[in-house]
Amino acid sequence: MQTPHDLEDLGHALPVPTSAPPAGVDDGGTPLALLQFGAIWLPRSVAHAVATAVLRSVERAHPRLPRNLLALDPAVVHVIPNDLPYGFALAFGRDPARLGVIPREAHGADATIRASTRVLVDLLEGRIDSDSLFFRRDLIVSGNTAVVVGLRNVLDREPLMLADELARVLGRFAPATRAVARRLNGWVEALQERVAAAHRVLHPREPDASETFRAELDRHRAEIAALTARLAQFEARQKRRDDKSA
Amino acid sequence: MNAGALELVCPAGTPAALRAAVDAGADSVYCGFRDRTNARNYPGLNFDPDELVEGIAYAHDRGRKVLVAINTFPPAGDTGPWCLAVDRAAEAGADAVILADIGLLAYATRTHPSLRRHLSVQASAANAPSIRYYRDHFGVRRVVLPRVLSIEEVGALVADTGIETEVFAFGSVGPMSEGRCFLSSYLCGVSPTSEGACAPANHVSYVESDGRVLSKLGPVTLNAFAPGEPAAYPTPCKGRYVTHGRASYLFEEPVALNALAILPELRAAGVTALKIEGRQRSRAYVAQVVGAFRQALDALARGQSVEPHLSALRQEAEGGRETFGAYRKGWK
Repeated sequence: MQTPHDLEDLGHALPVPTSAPPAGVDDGGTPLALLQFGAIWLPRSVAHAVATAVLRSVERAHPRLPRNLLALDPAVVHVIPNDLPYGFALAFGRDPARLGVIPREAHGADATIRASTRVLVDLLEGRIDSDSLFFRRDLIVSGNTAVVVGLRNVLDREPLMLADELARVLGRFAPATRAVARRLNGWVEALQERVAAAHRVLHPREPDASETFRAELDRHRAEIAALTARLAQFEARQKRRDDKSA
Repeated sequence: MNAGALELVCPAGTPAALRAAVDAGADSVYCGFRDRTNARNYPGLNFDPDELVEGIAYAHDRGRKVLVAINTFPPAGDTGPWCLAVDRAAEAGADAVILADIGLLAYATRTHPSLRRHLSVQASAANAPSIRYYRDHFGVRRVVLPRVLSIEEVGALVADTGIETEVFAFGSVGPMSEGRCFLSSYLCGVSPTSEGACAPANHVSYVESDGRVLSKLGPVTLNAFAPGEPAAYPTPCKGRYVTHGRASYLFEEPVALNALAILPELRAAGVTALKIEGRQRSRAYVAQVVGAFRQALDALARGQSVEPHLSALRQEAEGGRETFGAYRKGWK
């Protein structure tokens, strides 16, 4: 198992891939696009510095978080966003937590979490439930499950908002960065819309078999529920009759 | 809360979940300490004494209650942590403790007579003589009924026992032997009844194999999920076992209890409170489920149908499926 001190050697550092929601800082959208674009160009040393700064800022703003992380068994968790060319390594327990940037195929983690960047950010900020994601298979966990459960529970105790944390790190540059983020998000959304429109033209939508199947399934479920209820009523009536006749 | 309204009792595994539950409309929130004295003893979960005090203050400031679950069974010669938990709940100003063990009930009755006592589902009291025994000997004011009873049976118990009843309304369902389940002990040495954890995470692993995900508890493979197939908790009761060459759910299918559609019937049966299961789940789950039930209960109180709220929670359900469980059982 790796210790937090091994993090520097976890592979080639890449820029910090993260996103942030609008709440608390920016009503104009998340800086996801800005961060993804920035992630491609930031040098390793800057990425490490940003990751560390964000983590320390989070710990200062949420003083119970480092204490709770220290209380967990020492472990390294790899977090691999499906839609980014790299991942993160978070080490915690016993020593102060450390956050690094790693190649997607890096080894040596006690546990690995895989999901889309958006899902991971929503999880971190407490907007979606990890068990529900797990039931739907939108979240893949491998390795030591206890490590992931412990980390999830500790993070879920804190009202974390990445936009707020980044704003704290950026300090007086935060307003300018938010403005750029808004502009970039607008461009990306417009581009995505154009691509989607072009795709619709090139590939007209045919009836989706899975939707039809799902609707059919829902109808059957409703019928079964209704039949079960009627059966229960019938049985209750029968029981009352039997009791009377007895 | 209006007289005759169903009390909404909601789970909180963390202080953040407690606040989420209160903000989403819980009437009461139940939680536990960070040790094996409660049946959700998972890493990083639960409250330390200071957090409990803060949580109670948050709830009381908004007119809500906090119930503290101390509902596992002390082993021989080691009752200290359980008694201490009762003392701490009383000192923190909890509105009630939820207990299962007879010895602990006796301790709470003797040491903190004014502290309201609820009987945990872990006590598995499912008939009138049993419930009356707890009521008469330990002053139990409310019983959390096991998930083995039909609505008619719940109604009969309410009439027979004359104490408050709390029934499960949403969440995971087990093989219906609450307080007596040691299944996971056979695979990993601990169970919810002894250590407060069913299929503890440090014994659970997931392995990719031939495009499927295998869920394992200790050395035993419990299930294999094909790509896109909804997954289930890796508990022994929800394993898919091979018998006569065919894999099937022998004990319990991965499905969630959802009583939203039968709230009017539960109210008519005389039920006092509805319990949402899920202290081990996130504050997002708590906010979503509590919010949906709050809206449905408010609609019910206004004399409106709960129909529009029925599909709100399917995404939160284990296996993506819902059931009425025993409430409408056609079997014995």
